[in-house]
Amino acid sequence: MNSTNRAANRLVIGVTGLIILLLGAVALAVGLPTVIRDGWADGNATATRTLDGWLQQTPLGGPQTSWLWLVGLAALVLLAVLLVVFISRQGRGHTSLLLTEPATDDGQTVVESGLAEQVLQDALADRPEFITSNVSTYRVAKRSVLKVSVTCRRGISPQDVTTLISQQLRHLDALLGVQVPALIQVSGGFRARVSRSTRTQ
Amino acid sequence: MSITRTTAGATDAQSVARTGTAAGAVDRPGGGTADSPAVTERLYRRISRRELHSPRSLLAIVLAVLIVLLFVYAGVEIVLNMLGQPALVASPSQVATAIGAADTYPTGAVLVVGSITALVGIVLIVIALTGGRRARHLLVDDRAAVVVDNEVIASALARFAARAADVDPDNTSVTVTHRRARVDITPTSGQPVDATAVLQVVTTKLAAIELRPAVTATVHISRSGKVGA
Repeated sequence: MNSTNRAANRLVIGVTGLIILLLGAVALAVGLPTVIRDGWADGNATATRTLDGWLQQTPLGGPQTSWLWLVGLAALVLLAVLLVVFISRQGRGHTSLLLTEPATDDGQTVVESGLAEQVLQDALADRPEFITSNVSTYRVAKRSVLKVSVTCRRGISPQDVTTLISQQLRHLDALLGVQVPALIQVSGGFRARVSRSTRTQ
Repeated sequence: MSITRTTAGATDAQSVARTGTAAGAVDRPGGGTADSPAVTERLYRRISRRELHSPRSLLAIVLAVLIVLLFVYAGVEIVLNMLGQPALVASPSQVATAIGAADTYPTGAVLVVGSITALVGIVLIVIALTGGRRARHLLVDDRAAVVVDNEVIASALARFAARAADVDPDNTSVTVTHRRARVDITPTSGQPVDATAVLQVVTTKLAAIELRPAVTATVHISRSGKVGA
């Protein structure tokens, strides 16, 4: 429902996994009698010499430091900032606007999400079938979509719950004069498991 | 427009809703609502697909945080090294030396660490590539997209099965998976349970709940009963 970029999530997990797998594979190759193990010492000497050469050719204010370190630091900071942005983008997509009418000469009508949310919440609040109910509004594919999530008591038929909420949505349609897309999420959850079951019939 | 309608108008929900939708389709270009059934259908399909699969957010966030922490630490070591200060744990050159000496470490330890690391990597790749289906089903409804947790379906079926079998609900357990619902009943000692009757009730109830994908029920009666259940 939210605007989380799921492909990015999988990319981060996949790339991290790939790097960790490569590190593990190298460690295995060093541990086992392979070509990599035999050539490790030579390779290490060559790599050390090359890196030392680079660091000495790029002095920064003296022979002890190199501006290559600054490049490395900049790369680390850039990646870290990208990752922080990535984290902050998770779970967004709430909207406070439900409907926006096209502007006319007399002005524009805007309906806020709070209206629909409160109307529905009010209608569902005192229902014995539900332990909790919550209504929120998300922006999906440039449309405002209502999300009605309820936690049911044990033994409640999901069909009855859906019919009940659908009915309330239709009342809302009548009130607004427009059919707002909606998602109904029926869950059990921990509180349903520990709370006592209530007979409804 | 219709916002001004009072609750009196809401009593005739059906007809008002219909006129409202028709009007909305005309004067709502780029507005906040779905305007045609096909558009709504596509929107609902998208929402349903996302609700039925895990976003993998938690793992991605944990990994991102760990990587950022690692980068911050590496950055601090680099700065300390550039300033000629003693390292917190190991300076970059010490790390390089340690990696270079990998072939002199005890083979067993290197292999164990390597295997565990590789395994973690493989698990992450598998998680990144697999579907991550949630334990939920879609329920067909003509007004909204509906997702129902499997445990809600199971708990409803358990109530009906317990009533049909005339046992306590606590002696009935139902497991709902992607396409199956397995009903396990422990009968009260001395009172045989008619499995066919229970299956019929459960199947009828399942048919009434239009689930996608459809779920087929099986009933298993435990051989040993419980006394006083």
